[in-house]
Amino acid sequence: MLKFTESCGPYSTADLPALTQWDSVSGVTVVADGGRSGYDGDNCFELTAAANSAAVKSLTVDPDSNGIYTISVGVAVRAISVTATVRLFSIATAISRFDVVLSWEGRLTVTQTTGGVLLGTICTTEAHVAPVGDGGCYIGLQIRFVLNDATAVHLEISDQFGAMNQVGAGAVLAFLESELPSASLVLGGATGQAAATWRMCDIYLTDGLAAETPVTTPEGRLLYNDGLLGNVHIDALYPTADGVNLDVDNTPWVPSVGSSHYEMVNSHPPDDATYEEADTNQQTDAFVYQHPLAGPSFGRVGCCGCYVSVYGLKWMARLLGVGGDATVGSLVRQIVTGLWAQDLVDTGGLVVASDAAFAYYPIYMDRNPIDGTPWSMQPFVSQTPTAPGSLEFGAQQIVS
Amino acid sequence: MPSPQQRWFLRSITGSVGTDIGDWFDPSVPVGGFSQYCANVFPSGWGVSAKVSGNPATQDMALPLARFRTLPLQAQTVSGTVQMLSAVKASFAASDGDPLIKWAAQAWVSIGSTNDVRVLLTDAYRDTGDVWPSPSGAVYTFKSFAAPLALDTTAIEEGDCVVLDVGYYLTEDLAPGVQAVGALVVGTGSDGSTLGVLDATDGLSALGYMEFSSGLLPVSPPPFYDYCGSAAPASVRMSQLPLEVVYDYSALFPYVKGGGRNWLTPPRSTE
Repeated sequence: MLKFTESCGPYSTADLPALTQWDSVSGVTVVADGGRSGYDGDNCFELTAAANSAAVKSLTVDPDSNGIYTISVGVAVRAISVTATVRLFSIATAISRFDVVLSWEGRLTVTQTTGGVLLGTICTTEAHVAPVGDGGCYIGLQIRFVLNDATAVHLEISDQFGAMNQVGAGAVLAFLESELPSASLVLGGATGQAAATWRMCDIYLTDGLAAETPVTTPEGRLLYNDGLLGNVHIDALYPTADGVNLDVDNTPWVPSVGSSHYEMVNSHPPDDATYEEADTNQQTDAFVYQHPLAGPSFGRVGCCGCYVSVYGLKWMARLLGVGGDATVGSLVRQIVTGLWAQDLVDTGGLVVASDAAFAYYPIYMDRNPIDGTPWSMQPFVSQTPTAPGSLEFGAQQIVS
Repeated sequence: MPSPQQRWFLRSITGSVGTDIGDWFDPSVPVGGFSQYCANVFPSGWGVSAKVSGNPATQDMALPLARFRTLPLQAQTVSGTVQMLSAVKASFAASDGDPLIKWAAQAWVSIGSTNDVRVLLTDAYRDTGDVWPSPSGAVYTFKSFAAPLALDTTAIEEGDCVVLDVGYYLTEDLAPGVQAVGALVVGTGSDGSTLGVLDATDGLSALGYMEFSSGLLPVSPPPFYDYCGSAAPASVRMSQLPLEVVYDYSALFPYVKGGGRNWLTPPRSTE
C-alpha cells in the first residue's frame, strides 16, 4: 500500500518541513515549476552536498500476507553535478540503512550499513547507467527483508523511453526481525561529501501490504501497490469549484473571506491567512478538482492519458485546530444525482489536527474507498462536474 | 500539550450537589446547622453553584460542587499528582466583604463506575491559593489549585474510575444570616455565551480540565475523540486541500518531451 508520496507541488521552501509531511528537512530547496513536466506548479526538491541536504520521513510499514516486510521506493532524479559520489537517498530501519549512491560517472551502488557499521555493497551497476549533468532518470529500489535471497534487493532505472530496467540485485546482508515495522525514507542525509547538486521529485514509498484490487499498467502488469510501481508521476491537483449543491441539505465550512469555498483551499503554496472554518459536527466541504487536461497551466496529461489508471491518491488537508486538537474526516463524494442524500459519500479517513500550527494531514487511498475500485483520470476529466460518476473531495468536521 | 491520558477535559458534571457528594468532607469539621442547595447555572449543565449560610457556618467547612470522573480504567497503578482548571466565582461574599472561599477537593477511586469508594487518593484538601473572585457579580475566573495534589500511589482494578470531587471551603466563620455562594463552570453554556465572554475578556481556554501527571489508561479505549479529553475544539481551519495522484509516466506523452526535457534520460548514443 502507499505509505508516502511527495509531488513537491503544494508548498515552497519556506513551508518546509511542511509539518507532518516530513519529520525534518535541512538544506533542501523547493524549485518552483522545476518538476518533470516543466509546467506551472510542478515543483521539485534541490539538494546539495555543500548544504548536507537531508529530508527525513519516518513511518510504519506493514508486512505481506506471509509476514515478510517489503519496502519499495521510487524517485525521479536529475543529477546536475556530481564530482565524486553522492548519497541520493536511503531506506532506514531501526538498525539498518540501505543507501543508493551515485558516482560522477553515472554508476549506482546500493550499500548496507547496520548499527552504524558499513556491512558492504549489495549491488553496483555499470557506469553511465544514470545520467549526470544532462537529463534525468527514475530510480526504483525494493528491499525484501529476508536472508539468503540473492534477489531480495532490486534496483531499477528508467531508460530513454521511460521504461524501467533492472540494473542491480543482491541479498540483504543482515537483518533482525526487530528492525521493523519502523522505517524511514531519507533523501540525501550524508555529510562531508564532495560537491554535488541534484534534484528529486515524484517520490513514493510502498510497503508489502497489497491493495484489495489491482490496477493494470499500460504494459498489462497488475499492480497491488505492494512493490515497485514503475516510472510514475505524482502531481498535486487543486480545487477549481465548490461542490455541487454544497449548501443543500448540508452545512458547508465557512470561508474566512468572501463566499467562495474552494478559493480558500486551492492556493499553492498555502495561504494560511485565508481558510475554511468549521465548528459543528458533520459540517462538510466538498470541491470539484481540476482535471489534468486543463492546459496550458496544467497541461500535463495528453488526451491519450485521459483514461490512464491512477495507482493511488493522497488527500492532504492542511489543518489547524483552534482551541484544541480537532478531528477531521477525509471526504470522497461520487456524484449520483448531485444531492447529498443520494450521492455516494465516504468519510472513512480520520486525522487529528493539532492546535499548534497549520500542518498537512495525509490520508492515502490506494483505491476508491466507496467501492474499492481503482482510481482513474476519467472522473477528473469530465467536462461536466455534475455528471454521474464525477468525483469530489473534501473534509468533514468530526465532533463526538 | 499533555497527552489525552493526562488531561481530561471537564465536559459535564455528574450527579448533583448534596446527594452525590462523595466522601470528601473533612469528617472532623461539623456540617450541621447550615443550609445548602445546588443549581445548574447554565441549562447545559456545565455549571453548578452551592450556597452556605451562617447558622452557624464555621471556618473550614466545605461544600461540594461537582464530581468529575474518568472513564473506566485499566488495572494499573495510579501515582503522581492531579491538577485542575475551571472557572469559578463567589456570587455572594460575607457581609464584611472579606475574602471568603477557596478550593476544596478530594481525589479517590470508585469501585467500577459507582459512587462507592474503593480507596482515597488524597486527604480532604484545603487550598491555600487565591480566594475565589468576589463580591457578587464578579466575572468567572479560571483557577487551578495552588499546587497539584499528590496522589497516594495506589493499584486499582480494571473498571475502576478515578474521581475528583471539587468545591469550596470557608476561610472564616459566617455570622448568622450571612450567605456565601460558590459557583463553578467547566465549559460554555448551551448558548456558548458565558465563557465566550470570559475568553474575550481574559483570553482563557474555554474548557476546564483535570490533569494527571501520570496518564491514566482507559479500558478498551474508544476512538480518541470520544473519551480522550481532546474535547471538541472551538473550530478547525483548513487552508489548503491538494490531492496527489500517482500515475504512469506514459500518460504525459507528448508533453513531457517538451517542458520536461531536462529530466529525460539521454539516448544511449550520447554516453
